[in-house]
Amino acid sequence: MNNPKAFLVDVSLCIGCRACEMACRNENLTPSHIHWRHVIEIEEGVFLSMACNHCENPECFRVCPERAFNKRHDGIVEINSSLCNGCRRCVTACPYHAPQYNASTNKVTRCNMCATRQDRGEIPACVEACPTGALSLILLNDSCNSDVVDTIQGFTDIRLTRPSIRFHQIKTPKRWMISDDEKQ
Amino acid sequence: MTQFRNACPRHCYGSCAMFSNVKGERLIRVIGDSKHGYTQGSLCAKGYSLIQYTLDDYRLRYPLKQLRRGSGEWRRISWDQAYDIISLKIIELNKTFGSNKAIGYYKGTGNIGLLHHAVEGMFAGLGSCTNLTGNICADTGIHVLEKTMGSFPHPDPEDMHKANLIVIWGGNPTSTNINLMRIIYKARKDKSVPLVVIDPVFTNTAKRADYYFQIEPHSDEWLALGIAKRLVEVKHIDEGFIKEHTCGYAEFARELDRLLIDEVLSHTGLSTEAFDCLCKLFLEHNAIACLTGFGMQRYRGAGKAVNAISALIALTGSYYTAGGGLYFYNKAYTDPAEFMIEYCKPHSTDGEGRFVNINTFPQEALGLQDPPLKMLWVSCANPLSQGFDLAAWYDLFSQLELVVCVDLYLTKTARQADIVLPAASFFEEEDLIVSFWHNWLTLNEKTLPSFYESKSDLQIARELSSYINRIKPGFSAFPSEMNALDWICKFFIPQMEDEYGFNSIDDLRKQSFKKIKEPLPDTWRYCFDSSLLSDLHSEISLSVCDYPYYLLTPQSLLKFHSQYETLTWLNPMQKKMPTAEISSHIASNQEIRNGDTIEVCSARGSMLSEACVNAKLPNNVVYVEQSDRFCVNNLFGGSFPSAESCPFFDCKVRIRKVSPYEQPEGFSC
Repeated sequence: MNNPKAFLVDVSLCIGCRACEMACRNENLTPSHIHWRHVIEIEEGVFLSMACNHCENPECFRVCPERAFNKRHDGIVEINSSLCNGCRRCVTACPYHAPQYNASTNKVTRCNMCATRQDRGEIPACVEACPTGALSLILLNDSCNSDVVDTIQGFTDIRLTRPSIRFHQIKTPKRWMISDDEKQ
Repeated sequence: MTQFRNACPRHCYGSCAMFSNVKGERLIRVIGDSKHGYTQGSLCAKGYSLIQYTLDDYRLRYPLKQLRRGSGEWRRISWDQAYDIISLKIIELNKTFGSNKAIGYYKGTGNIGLLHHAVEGMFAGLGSCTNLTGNICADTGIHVLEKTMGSFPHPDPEDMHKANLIVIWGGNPTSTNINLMRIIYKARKDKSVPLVVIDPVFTNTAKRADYYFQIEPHSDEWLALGIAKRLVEVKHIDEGFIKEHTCGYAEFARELDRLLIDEVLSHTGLSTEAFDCLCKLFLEHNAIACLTGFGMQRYRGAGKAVNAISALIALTGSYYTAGGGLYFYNKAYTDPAEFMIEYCKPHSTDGEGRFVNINTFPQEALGLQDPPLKMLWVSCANPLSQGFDLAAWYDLFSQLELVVCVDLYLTKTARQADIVLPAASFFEEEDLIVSFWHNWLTLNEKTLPSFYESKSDLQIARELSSYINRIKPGFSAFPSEMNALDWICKFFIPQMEDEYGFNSIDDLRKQSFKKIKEPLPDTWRYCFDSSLLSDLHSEISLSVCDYPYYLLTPQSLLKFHSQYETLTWLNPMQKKMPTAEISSHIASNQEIRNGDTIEVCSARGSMLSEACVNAKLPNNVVYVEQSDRFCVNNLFGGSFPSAESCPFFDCKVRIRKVSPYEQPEGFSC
């Protein structure tokens, strides 16, 4: 792997607007119950937009009996749908719920980091849609910024699959609530 | 594949410019226009779901006639049959009453495209009918600011990052104006400009703020005046600005003197420490950008709060600073509806007709006599779901002989109409979109063929007007020969080309245009309104009664009022019941847990909901999303001063836990 691609998330900038989620649908035309990308609130006031993390050690790749998964040289994990038999082992194995099973086609689909867009020289649709720059794309070996960390509180353990996702440190704001004079 | 230029016509801050890719008469993708200065290529979640919108199974396809109003017995009719029924009724009413005053329309802001003012134009073409005035969103603020700030100068939101403090007061741009967050973040990144959010609800914007101040609902004016008093006390005001550009300061300061900070604290619920912190922020900054959101303008007398905030900003002298000032509503463009009405009305008009305010429409319309209102045309609106006094709306409908509703969906309002006409989506019509917030104008090109038999408001106005004229020549003066491009090229472009700097429709096909804005003139004055403070003391607190909690129903992220509710990308339809968020105080007092069924009751009505405990809500607040499917508006109602927007957030409720044994079958609202 030369210099794998990864999503860089700055949760301090994410406003939970879900434009990335819908931009993904607009690009990939996924049905309503299939969520290639979704925004979750990992703790009070902290939104995390997450799709497939294109892990360095992808569990989906390992458990698939049909060898439908492929990891490209640029780090993107792809699934060859014609090989998928709908066994859903990848769905249960993935710690990030990235593979999505579609009952009507009996196939699993998932985020491919907009590989075709990237091959054309464009950035993924979700990254392009983000209004605040909370979501961006980096090359893992280039991220020498000390502000960039491997994980944040509330994120699933990264030791199993070594996901290609990086974070900015979280900054804590000042809040004055009525009820309990809470100050953070 | 073909690409077209479009603009979102929702009554939203963004008015986003976009491109649509079309293949085989189907929309396959929308892309934000990165050259648009305000939106810079980002669309919101709703914008990226537009593929679903154009092909939504719930969209209306054909004109429909309801056999008995509200019965749900619909018959498909042809457009000519529809025009025939409507024309004959108009002519009959004209004959009965000797004028067209028994005929009225209610045109909402469901689509703010300039060509949708064809609705107003069509009725203007009839001569004297019952017309509409007022601004549904912004009346509260507009009327107050006209007094204090005259033709108030709206700063360019793209400059907001130049301020040195940004205050979002009663607004939630993370849900309603996502591109503003980019500008706010730019200020934070470039110059460490803090974001301050003041709101009773811990919104997503509050979650992203550097300082969040939670205040009691309805206490905004107390807080603004409290800070103002502090600024005056420590003499930290912009004396140069006050001397040269304001009037009435001395009296205002005298009145402020009588205000007690203890009262401010008890009304707002802020601790002394929090209040001091907020005052300090105002003391330390002199180019303050303050957005007064629509959320703090939805209660009776909220004009006082807008007034007080505008005065506070004046004390800081921010109006002439780069990026500073009051951000509210860009009223700069002369009302296009008025232009269109003027152009369409007959030369020999039999009187001016009469006017009904949009905010108090059903109550006022019920009171009309000589003649009473007998026919209503509803377009771009869903008042039976979104109106303030639904009982009055139903009363009004019961006196009407004909209700026509133009919509894309069979909304609550359409379900009570006699004739429902299928409306085109904005991809199926040409239009011009002018923002009420930023300074950009975008052409919307016709992208898709008509969805089944749907038509644009303009096309309906043209066809109905000429239909009436065929039956009774000369009855309507509406220029039905003018198509959309005629209106744009011959009517709107000549009015706008100088202001926006373009010459032809070909220019508009290439890009969006920004209005060339003049800086605030040196002669501009701010007038302090000291009567604000005398009124304040006469107010009575409503805290203890049968309905102890405030019901707040602000704009939600994945709907636009009742629009977009049927798109499953945004709003999966599994929900059987609406969700009501309650404070943990209410939950523990009444032993309510997440998922319990509760009844939210106001003096006007009630609704069943699923409880969701939100520990960050103030003790006395219940929070429910707006919806057409689970309409919450039957809890609202009552009278309110004219020249104000509807006081949706004045609703007080009580909560009752519903035991599983008494739950009725299904859900009704």
